[in-house]
Amino acid sequence: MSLQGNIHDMSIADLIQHNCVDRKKAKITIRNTNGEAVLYLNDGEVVHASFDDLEGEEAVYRILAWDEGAFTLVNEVDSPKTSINRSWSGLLMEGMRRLDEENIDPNFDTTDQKGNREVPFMAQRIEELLEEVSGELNGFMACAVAGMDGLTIAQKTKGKVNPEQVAAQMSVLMKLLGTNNEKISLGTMEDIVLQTEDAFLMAIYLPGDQAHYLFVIVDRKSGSLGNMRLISKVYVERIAKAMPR
Amino acid sequence: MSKLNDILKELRGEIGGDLLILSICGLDGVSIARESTLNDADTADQQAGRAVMALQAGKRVAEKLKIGTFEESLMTTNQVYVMTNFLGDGSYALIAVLTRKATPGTARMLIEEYSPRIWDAIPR
Repeated sequence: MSLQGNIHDMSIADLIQHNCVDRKKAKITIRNTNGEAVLYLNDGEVVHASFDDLEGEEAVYRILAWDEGAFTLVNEVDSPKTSINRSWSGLLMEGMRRLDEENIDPNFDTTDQKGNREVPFMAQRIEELLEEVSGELNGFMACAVAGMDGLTIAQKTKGKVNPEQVAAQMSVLMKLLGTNNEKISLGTMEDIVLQTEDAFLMAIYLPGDQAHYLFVIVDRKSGSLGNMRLISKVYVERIAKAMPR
Repeated sequence: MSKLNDILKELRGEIGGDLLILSICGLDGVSIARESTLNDADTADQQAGRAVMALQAGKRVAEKLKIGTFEESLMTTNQVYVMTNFLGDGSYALIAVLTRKATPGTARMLIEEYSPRIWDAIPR
């Protein structure tokens, strides 16, 4: 069976995610003015990719930014080789990180005359990322970047959930969990998901920063726990880059 | 109580080698049954007790935020996954600690499947 479409309607990242979650064995061919790229999937992972003279992960990273082109997916095609060992989610996260780096203009000065980075620019950038998060998640209710002081830095909400109240509560919970983990040697906490009868609530620390975290709340009926974890992990990397250091 | 231990053994077998601790605790944090690959039983009980403390804190958060009755939590650290679920009427909790090599989605489904049997096996 084969499927055809345009990556303008379904991005390459979405193609990878959907087909890997379905654990498909398939060959995806993508053609546009840059050339032809081929991805092979097997048992829920991207196992091989080629584009131009590139092979493996580098080929995937090169084509992730494409927003135009036709794709064809043919099921049950064996990969001629294995050139990728990284998980599909790790592959997408690294790809997003590289895209972010490419999008940061090194000549764009965001500091004021005293040499301080302009906070409004930073907050605006984070709010833009939170806006993207809200668009990626079915059943989205709220999300915010907050500090362990319980105050939000930027937030996005749809509906009745008050992000400031969530931040105040979650900071207390995460401090308690951090202390617990320390005392009983369970390692350094990375994230926590709470499931209630109405919602999934996830809080995840920004990479390398135990002072700030992203929280996301989605409606239990229309949302997906796996998708919420994936999107949170992808965006937390991007948010970390937008935070001033 | 042997029935409860048998069910925990069965669940441990289904989850596989990535399971470190499987414990049933009252809300006082005291374990009433346990399956563990750790040699140190005190450590297993201490970890389960702490997890119950966190579970109760999670319950309070859900109540304050009015997002429905709290059911379960999944915490990820750089070493382990810690899954905690309320059982039955919420007077007992199941705590599972798994290595990072585990598949938490599968463990979560298995725990959901076994929870009613575990609840029925708790003497009341």
